[in-house]
Amino acid sequence: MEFLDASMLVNQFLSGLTRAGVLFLVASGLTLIFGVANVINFAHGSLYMLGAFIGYSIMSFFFGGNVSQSFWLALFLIPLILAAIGFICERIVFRPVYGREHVIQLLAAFALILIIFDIAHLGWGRTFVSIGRPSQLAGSVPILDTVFPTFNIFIIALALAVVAMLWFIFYRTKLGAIIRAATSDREMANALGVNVPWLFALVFMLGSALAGLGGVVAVCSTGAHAGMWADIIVQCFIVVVIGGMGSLPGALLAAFIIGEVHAFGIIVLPDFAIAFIFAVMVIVMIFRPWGFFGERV
Amino acid sequence: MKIGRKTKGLFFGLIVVLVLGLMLVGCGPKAAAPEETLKVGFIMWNSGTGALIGQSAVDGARWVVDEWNAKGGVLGKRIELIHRDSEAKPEQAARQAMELHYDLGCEFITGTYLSSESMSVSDWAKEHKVMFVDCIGASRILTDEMWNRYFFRTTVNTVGRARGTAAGMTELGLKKYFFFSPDYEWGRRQCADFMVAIKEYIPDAEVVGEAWAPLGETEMTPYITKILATDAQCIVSAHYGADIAAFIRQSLPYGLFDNIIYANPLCGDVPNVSPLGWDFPEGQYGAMWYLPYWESPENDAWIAAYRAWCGKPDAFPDNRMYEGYIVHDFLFRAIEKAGSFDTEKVIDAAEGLKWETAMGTVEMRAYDHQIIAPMISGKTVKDPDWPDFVILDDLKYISGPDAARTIDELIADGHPGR
Repeated sequence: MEFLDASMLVNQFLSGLTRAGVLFLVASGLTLIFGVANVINFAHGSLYMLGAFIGYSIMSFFFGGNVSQSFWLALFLIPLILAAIGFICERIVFRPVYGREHVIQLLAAFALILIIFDIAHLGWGRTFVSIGRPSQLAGSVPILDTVFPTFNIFIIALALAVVAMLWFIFYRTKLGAIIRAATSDREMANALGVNVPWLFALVFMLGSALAGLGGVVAVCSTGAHAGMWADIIVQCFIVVVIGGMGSLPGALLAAFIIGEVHAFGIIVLPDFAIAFIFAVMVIVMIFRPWGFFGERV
Repeated sequence: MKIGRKTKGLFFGLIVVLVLGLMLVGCGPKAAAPEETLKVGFIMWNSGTGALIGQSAVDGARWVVDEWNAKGGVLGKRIELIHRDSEAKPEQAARQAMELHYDLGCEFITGTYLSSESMSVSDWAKEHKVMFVDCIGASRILTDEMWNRYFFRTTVNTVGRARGTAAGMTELGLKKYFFFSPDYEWGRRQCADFMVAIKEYIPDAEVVGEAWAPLGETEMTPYITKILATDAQCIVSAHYGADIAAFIRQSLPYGLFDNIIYANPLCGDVPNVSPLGWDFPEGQYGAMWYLPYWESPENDAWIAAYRAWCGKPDAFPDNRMYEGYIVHDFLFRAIEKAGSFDTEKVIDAAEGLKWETAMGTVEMRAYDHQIIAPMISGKTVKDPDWPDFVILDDLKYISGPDAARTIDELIADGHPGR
C-alpha cells in the first residue's frame, strides 16, 4: 500500500517542508510589512520575481557562468540589491499612501506590479529562464530507502536560519522591540519618539531582501518567468491570512501547514491537491477569522 | 522682447500652412493607391511559461506571410497578419477572435496554443461562421466530439503523437505506466491516448498511478516522490515549457531517470528541450511532426529558405515555427484553390487539400478537418553536432495514415459524423 511506505512519507514530508521554506521566506516579508506599516503589499511577489531574474543574471554573468561559484555571490548580493529596491519602492510608491484606505494602497501596489512586470519583460524577455544548481548542492542524500536532493535540504536550512535571525532581531535587539511596539500600536510608538518613517523604510528593506532570497533559491529550483509573481503572491497571501495578519510565528506555522497539505494532498487526492490549500483557508476563516496568531478584531 | 500682433499672426499662419502641407504629403500617396489587404488574425500565447514555443510559432507565421507577400500575396491581395497574445486564457482567446474579426476586419482566424483555447475559439467560430485553423492545440476532442465545419487543424493531434511515441518504445516491453501531465484537457487526453496506443503492442500494459499538476506548476518535488513510491517503469507525460524544465531539473538529484523511462512526445520539441541544454537526460522517448535534423531534400530546401528569410546562415527552423508556418500556408493555398475569399468556398476547397511541406506530402482530411501528416519517433541523445540541446536518435518514420485513425475509429471515438 503506497500510503504506508515510510520512506515515501518522510520524502513527502521533506518536500512539503521545502515548499514551506520558500513560502516562509516570501510570506514573512509580506506579513512584516503589513504588521508594521499596515500596507498589504501585493507587489511583494514582484520583488521575489526580480530576485529570481537578477539572481539568474548574476549567476550567468560572474565567474564565467559557473553556478558553483556565482550562486553564492548571488545569494550574498541579491538581499542587498532587493533591500535597495525595496527602499526606493517604499519612498516613491508607498509613503504617499500610508494611512489611506486599503483600496488606494492596493492601487499603488498594482501600479508597482505593472511597472516591475514591464521591467522584467524588457530585461529578460517574455520567456522563462532556467539555470542549474551549484555542484556543492546538486546531489542528494540517502534517507531510509530513498534519496532527497541536497538543494532542498539547503532551502529548508536557509528558511530555518532566517527564522532564527528574525527571532534574534525581534526578541534580542532594541530594533526588534521597536518593531514589535510599532506593530502593536503605531501611534504610541510615534509619540514615544520612534522615528516611524525610517522604521517603515527599514521594514520594507528587510521584507524585500527576504523576498529576493526566496527568488534566488527559486530560480535554481523551478526557473523564473514574468508570471511567477502571481503564483507566489496568492499562496503567500493565504499564508499571511491564516497565520494572522502581521504575525511572524503565524506565517511560519501557516507556511508549514500549506506546504505539507499540498505535499500529502498529492498522494491522497491528486486532482484536489490545490483545492486542499483553499479548503484549509476556508476552514480557518470560519473558525478563526483573525488567523492562528492574529489579533481578534 | 515684445512680439507684435502682426508677427504672431504670421507665425500662426505659417504653422497652419505647415500642418496642412504635412497632412497633404502624408495622405497623398495612400489615397492615390489604396492596397487591398487580406487580414488574418493570429492568436498565440507568447508570454510567460509558454513563451519560447509561442514565439517560435509567431516567427513561423511572419516568415510564411513574408514569403506569400513576396510572391504577390494571395489572389492579388497583400496579407496582413495581426497577432494577439492570448496569455493562455481560453476566454481571452475567444474575446480576441471577436475583436480581430469584427473590429479589425480579419476574415480568417488562426492560432491558439492550448487545447482549451482552441475549444473556446472553435465554439466561437462555429457560432459566428468564421473559418478557424488551429495551430498548436492538439487534443483529439477538437476534431472528434467537438467537430464543426468551421474548424480545421494543421498539427498532428494527441492520437498521432501518442502513436508516434508508442511506436518507438515497443521493443522495451514496459508494462507499468505512471501518468504525470498538466491538469487540463490536452494533458489528460495525451496520457489516455498513449495508453490506447501502447496497448496495441503490449496488451497487458497498465496504469499504476497518476498525478496532475496545475499548468505552470514548477514545484515538482511532491510529485516526484509520489512517482518514486510506485513500481512504475515509465512516466507518460505531456509537460512542456517551464513545467518540464522544473520537473527534469528537480528529478535529476533523485536519479529518477536511472530506472524509469520518460515518454513525452515533446522530448523532440526543440523550444521545449533547449532551456535545459544537455542537462536533459538521454534515452527518453518522444515523437515529432518536424525535426530540423531530419534528412530529406524537402527539409534542406525549407531550411535554406528560412536562412534566406532571417539572414542568419547558421540558423534553423524548429517544429513550432513549422506549425506557425503551415497553418497559414494551408489557409492561403485553400483560398487560392477556392479562387475566392468567401468563407464557405474556402472551406470547401480546404477539405481534402493536399500540399507539399518540409516533411513531405500532407493532406487535410475532409471528414474531420484533421491534417494527416507523418510522425518521427526516437529517443534523446547528446549529439556533438547539436550542442545546445538533446536531439532524437534511432529515428522511426510513421506515415500519416499510420499515425492517424481511420474514419471508423473516429466514429467509435465519438465523432458525430458529417
